[in-house]
Amino acid sequence: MKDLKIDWFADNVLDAVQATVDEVSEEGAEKIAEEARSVLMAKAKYPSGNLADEIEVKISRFKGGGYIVQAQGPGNYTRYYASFVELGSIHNPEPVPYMRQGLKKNRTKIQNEFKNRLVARLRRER
Amino acid sequence: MKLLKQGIYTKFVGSALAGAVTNRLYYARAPQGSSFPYIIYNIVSTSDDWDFTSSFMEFEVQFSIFSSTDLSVETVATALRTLYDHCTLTVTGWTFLYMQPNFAAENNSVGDDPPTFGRTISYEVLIEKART
Repeated sequence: MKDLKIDWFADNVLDAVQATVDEVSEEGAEKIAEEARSVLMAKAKYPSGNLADEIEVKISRFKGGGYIVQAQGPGNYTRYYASFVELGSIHNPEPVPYMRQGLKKNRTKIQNEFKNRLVARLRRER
Repeated sequence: MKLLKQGIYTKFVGSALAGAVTNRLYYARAPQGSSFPYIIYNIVSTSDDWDFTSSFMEFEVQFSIFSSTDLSVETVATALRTLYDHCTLTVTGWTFLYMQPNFAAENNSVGDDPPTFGRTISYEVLIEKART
């Protein structure tokens, strides 16, 4: 008797998982960015909106790095005070942690979204 | 929250960290003309929660170290982490649960003349008390 082989189309499952991970990663990063903009406008000492406009979601340059949220990121800004607002500085010692708050408020929601969306997607792949 | 600030300051008094900054730990802002190195701390976020029996308060406490040299900042940062990482604070009227580091970053102003060097270290603090 020849070997019995069963193809369960693992590639399809892996593709589905990857697509879902990418989708949720991007949406999660957008949520973090949105929250960061919102905290900034509510709490910054001088909320002009310039810095809020420079919070953006980018694809990481690293393999498997997913999406990142950056404020006044490299190559796309002429100002450089994002970290001084986030962390405070010697001239402006009161920090406004808009990026950290953006992450903190969304971390659990995004993790749950990964779980829910992956389960739903894998059910469809059966 | 006043009681938390008291707990942080009580821990600081007489410590190696206090020696490293010659007692210059300030809340929110340093007095004009303060000598380096010094530390400013802020309570950057507060949230509360409860269950059937207890109330909880969670804080994010950020310490910002400033000095004229990176080496000095590093020395103070090491002393700060030795004192506060996973320490126990006395917060009167509350049961202290934890103080754990959650973020650290360099915060230099090298464009200043002379340049200043900084380090940000923040902690999550959780306290609890029985609901009445």
